[in-house]
Amino acid sequence: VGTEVRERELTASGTPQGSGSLQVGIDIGGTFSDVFIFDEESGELRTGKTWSVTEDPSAVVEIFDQIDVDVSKLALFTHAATVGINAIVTRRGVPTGMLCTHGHRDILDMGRGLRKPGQIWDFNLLRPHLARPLIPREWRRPIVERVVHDGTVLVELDEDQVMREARWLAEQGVESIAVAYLNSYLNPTHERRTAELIEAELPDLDVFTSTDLLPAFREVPRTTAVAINAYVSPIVDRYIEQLDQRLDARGFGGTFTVMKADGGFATKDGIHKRGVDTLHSGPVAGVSAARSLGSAIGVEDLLIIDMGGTTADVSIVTAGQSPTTNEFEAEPDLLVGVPVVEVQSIGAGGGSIASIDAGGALQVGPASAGSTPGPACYGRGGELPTVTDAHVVRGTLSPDHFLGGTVPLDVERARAAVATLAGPLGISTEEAAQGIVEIVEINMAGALRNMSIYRGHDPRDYALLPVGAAGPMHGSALGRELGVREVIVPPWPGEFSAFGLLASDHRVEMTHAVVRNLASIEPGEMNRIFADLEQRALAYLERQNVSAKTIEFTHFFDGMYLGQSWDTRCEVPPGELGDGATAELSERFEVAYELAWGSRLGMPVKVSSFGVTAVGARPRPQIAAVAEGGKEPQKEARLGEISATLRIDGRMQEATVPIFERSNLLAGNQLAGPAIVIQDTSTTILNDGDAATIDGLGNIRIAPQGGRK
Amino acid sequence: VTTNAAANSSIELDPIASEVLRSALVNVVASMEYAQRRTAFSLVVRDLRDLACGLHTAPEDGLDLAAVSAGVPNLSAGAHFSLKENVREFGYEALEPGDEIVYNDPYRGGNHAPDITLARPIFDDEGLLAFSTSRSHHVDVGGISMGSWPVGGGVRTIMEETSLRLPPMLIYKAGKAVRSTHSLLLDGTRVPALVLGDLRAQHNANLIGERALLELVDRWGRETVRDAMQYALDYGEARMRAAISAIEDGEYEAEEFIDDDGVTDEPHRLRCKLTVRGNSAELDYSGSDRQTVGNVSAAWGIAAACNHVTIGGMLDPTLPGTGGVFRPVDLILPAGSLVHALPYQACCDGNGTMNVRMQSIVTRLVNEALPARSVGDCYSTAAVATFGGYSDAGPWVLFHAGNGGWGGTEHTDGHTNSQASISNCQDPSIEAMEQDVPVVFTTHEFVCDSAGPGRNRGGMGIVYGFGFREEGVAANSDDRVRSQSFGVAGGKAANPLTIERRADFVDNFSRPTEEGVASVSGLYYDEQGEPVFKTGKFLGRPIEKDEVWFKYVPGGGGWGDPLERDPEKVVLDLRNGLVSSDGAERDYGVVVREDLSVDDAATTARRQQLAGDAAYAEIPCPARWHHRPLAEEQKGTVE
Repeated sequence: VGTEVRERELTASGTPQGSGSLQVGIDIGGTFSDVFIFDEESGELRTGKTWSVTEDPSAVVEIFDQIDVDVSKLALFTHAATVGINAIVTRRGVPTGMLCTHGHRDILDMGRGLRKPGQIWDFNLLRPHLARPLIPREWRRPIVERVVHDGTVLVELDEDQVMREARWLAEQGVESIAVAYLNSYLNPTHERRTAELIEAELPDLDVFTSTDLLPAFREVPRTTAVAINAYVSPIVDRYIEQLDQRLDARGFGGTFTVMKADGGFATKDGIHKRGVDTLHSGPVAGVSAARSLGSAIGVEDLLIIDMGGTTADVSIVTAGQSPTTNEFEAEPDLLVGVPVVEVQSIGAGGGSIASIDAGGALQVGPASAGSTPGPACYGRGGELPTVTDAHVVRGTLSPDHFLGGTVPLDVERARAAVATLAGPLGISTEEAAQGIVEIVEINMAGALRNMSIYRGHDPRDYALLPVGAAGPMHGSALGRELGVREVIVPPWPGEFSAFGLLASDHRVEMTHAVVRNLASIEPGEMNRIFADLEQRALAYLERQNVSAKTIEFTHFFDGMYLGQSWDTRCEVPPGELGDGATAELSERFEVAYELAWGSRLGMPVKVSSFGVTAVGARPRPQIAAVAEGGKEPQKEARLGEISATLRIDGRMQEATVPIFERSNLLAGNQLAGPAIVIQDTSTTILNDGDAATIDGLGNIRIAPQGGRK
Repeated sequence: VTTNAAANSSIELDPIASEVLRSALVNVVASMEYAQRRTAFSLVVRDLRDLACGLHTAPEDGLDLAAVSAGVPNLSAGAHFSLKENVREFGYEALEPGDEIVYNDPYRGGNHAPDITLARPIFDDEGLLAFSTSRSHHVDVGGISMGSWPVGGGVRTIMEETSLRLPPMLIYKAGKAVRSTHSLLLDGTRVPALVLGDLRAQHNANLIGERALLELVDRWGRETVRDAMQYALDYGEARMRAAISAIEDGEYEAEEFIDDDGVTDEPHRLRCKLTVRGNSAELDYSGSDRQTVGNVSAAWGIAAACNHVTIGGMLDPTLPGTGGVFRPVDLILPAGSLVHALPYQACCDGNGTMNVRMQSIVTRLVNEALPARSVGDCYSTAAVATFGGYSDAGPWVLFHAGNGGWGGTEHTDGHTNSQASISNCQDPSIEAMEQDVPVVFTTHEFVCDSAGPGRNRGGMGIVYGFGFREEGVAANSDDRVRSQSFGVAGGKAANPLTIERRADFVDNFSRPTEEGVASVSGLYYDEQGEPVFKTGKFLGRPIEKDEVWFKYVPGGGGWGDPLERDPEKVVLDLRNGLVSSDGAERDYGVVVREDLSVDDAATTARRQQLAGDAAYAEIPCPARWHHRPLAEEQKGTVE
């Protein structure tokens, strides 16, 4: 099937021209790998999809054969690697040990202690690191040493003990060691001395210190970050190195970069010994894509919902910027610690299973039928009703056009599956199908609200970008539910994340922890810290051949009101800080706090760390314009009609709905809902009352019609 | 007696719209909770997340809790009872748009005095539609002890000594803050800035709740939203009835004890009988001891919340938190007993010690009534400590709540390091606490041989080491010093709670903790072999500079016969330092060679011997912890 899809893609979009002008992004997903190709010379963009390969560097290189791209003609290849996260999911990282402060051996197993609603009374559910440790307790060795709250040494490092434990760990077969001591962010000498001692005597071991990875306040995220990093980095490094060699063997002469979870990307050198930076980078690429698309059409405030087979990922872009979080969990209570562009996942996808619970209520997800056995309509053995089946029953997913018509959908199986719910609920099969769709939509709307309203952003100021194979089927309904300004379906919703791989910049964030009252810090000291951080950021980017001229720096500090314990980020004006800077930063903090949390408290401010963000901008793929057409779509765009059950004027009705072929729609075409627009890897649903226009870049722009009564 | 008779459902909503709107109501309280947490000031609300938000039906619909943020189960559920009591007394007819009332009184359905509720009536064009509530645990609400949680101290405590007591009062009138009420609260606390910040966050949450609910009314219409709230309650009831139906009809009885009340050294007995008939149940505490003279008994509101939430959670962890879930279970809480303190007996620790002990007794009942869901007891003590003093930099206070292990189940070893399910707060960062107080956390680790042995053992006990760099005083509230967290289905009990102290913590940084220690709390033998009980509930105990205090919070009870535990799992625990080689043989009958391989023949023999050994059957393991002899140097420190 994958081959057929691929060939159709290529027939549709032709063969690339030129030499050394191609940019290619490959995003390896659970079921499919998405490919995005941009030709710098001709401006041509095309997409591809192949069944996912195992993460063997040879297999990844073979994708280029499948999509008929000559590796020697690549200018840029960007990759969202899942090798790191897979190592965590499968617990196949390298055998890793940890050295920790005496008396604090169990930080990894303890996490932050909190249980989420629904799990509070589930006594069979253990914190993942307790049940399946990355680093077993036996290999977490306590070391006599102690640094206290002001960075002074209370107990000296026992160097003999360090070596005894390191030798013992090496004998056990450990290949990688994480060093995480308490308060090391204030005084890293014990951690660094530990690494130095081990590296001198046991050079085959990879040693990672918490402060050099994440010099941040709070022991849990710093410790989990270095543990995860020590566990995955050797594997990520090996994978990237092998991929690099295979590219070279095929005459690759361009730049090879890897997507990072902070929304930037890095070369091989940039992520060396920092594998933790690559976790979760696939979903983050979608946010980069949204920023890039948004800037191309002049829309800077976007809500994004990326709905695939199992989950829906929700993110936000405000004034062209996407927030990062340091609370991202690789697994419950396993914080990655490093900054990650904020993307929240909920168990809502095309494969989400609908069921009736003990209270007689219809529920959808979070369990998913995945790709095997998949929805009932796939005819691969799945019998449980899913969201995809509900669309087939409603008629909103055309059984003849799925994946370009290569996978026929079985309407009868879908109906039979959904009918099992209709009986107990006392409603018709069509109503049950409608119910499945509306319930998955209210769940997704909740996640979008969580990302917007609850943080003080009004969705009425935002455009909604429904992407992923299943997103555009729900964009119109979600847009109404939230009252967004408009809904924008990009030309390639199914491969949107892969587009993001070509739409990112080189990026790095460097921080320096202080934990002192702002009033006690002289501007001169701040200037020295910022200058040092800029130097470190510059060195990091120059190592990746980023030209210093293209680099822009942003200064910031993370701080809190005295007596609080959580950070709020505050931007610091560029350039040298002069007299009076402290008062100015205080005022800036008040403004930033009010923006983030809704009030200012007029109290003294404590700084936890100063930081610098450095961005080395790269040219973005220019999205080619589509040909102009009239208001009325051309004949070739009309594929016929389908009978579908939809909510019209608030009531469920059967209606005859026109189907359009996306690739034949032209700029200026107007579509009125209800209507269905199909393309090979996605279907867009326009609901009753929707008015949509195709814009100059081929986006479907839907102006939703108020709320539902 | 609190009775929750089934309501007559008269809803005209189709099943899809009902479920869509129920989700929408849950979204409303989620938005309230988020707003409150992000604008709160204190570490307790922001980091420990000790808060709850709810939506309640209008007075004519019963003032029932229709949607709730379920993060802190007893605080969430308690909103149901306290709102009814306070709104009915205040009189809802007197309320107007923009008003908000405040209350905390435990005798009026509150959990305990530090838990302050702000309740806001929500009006639309046609009148009063619903109430929103926002609750926070406040850091200090006055009284004789910082933190307003005084337990022990050797004298009877009455409510008025321990904290402010707030009957329902207006705190906002027509959208404006009521100055006199704010003054009363802010003058009554040692930390007015924190209390004010947290009160504003609660007000903010109510404003968000009002806005979000009125948006739903705009979209769906008033009657549909009212129906949806009723549906959410009926749905909760249906889920709970389905859960109860899994139990065979019958009567099940259990007993539990608290060590003491901090004033007298006597254990106090809880008795409870669970009666199940079809899909209804009753929990009857008749026969429980009368209320304590110390500050330990539960007010009826926390007792109701705790019992409803525990039996629901035990039977089905995924139940919604609405008041509908409470309907199928009747509670009998005899007035003047441990579970229904009457004025003016102080009852703050009813939300601590008695709270976890009620979870224990309901756990015992469900273990018997529905063995498929049986679980060992969790560490089941409040584990609350307050340390404070005056240093050169000014006064300092550390409020600390410890965690321990949870019980094992048929399917897994017990979970470790979460608070007891009934409270569920988050651990604060050690590096953050060390910034604020002159305390060095010397230890925060699992304790070897602390888990209740079983085919699946309990979760691990945890030791907290507090190294004091300044002198000060300590207050503490702990239980399970004399009793132990029980195992089930042949599983054994976990270690009892002990607190020990030792001088010169820096010099002794890495020395084994058994050397040179003196006991603070624990159960020990004296020279005559008589047990000496040193309570875990005390006030005003001096702390010396450079002293370290170790608190050993218990693990969880085991599940199933420890002699049936897979020897390889015992060896894995041995490798990981969770059991000692002595413990492996003594508690599990597993004999391990020097290379850490299992000696199969010796293990089989040892297990056969232990299986027939009456002494083994009677030892409430782990044996190492049981009634340790009082060491020579400890004798002088018995207080």
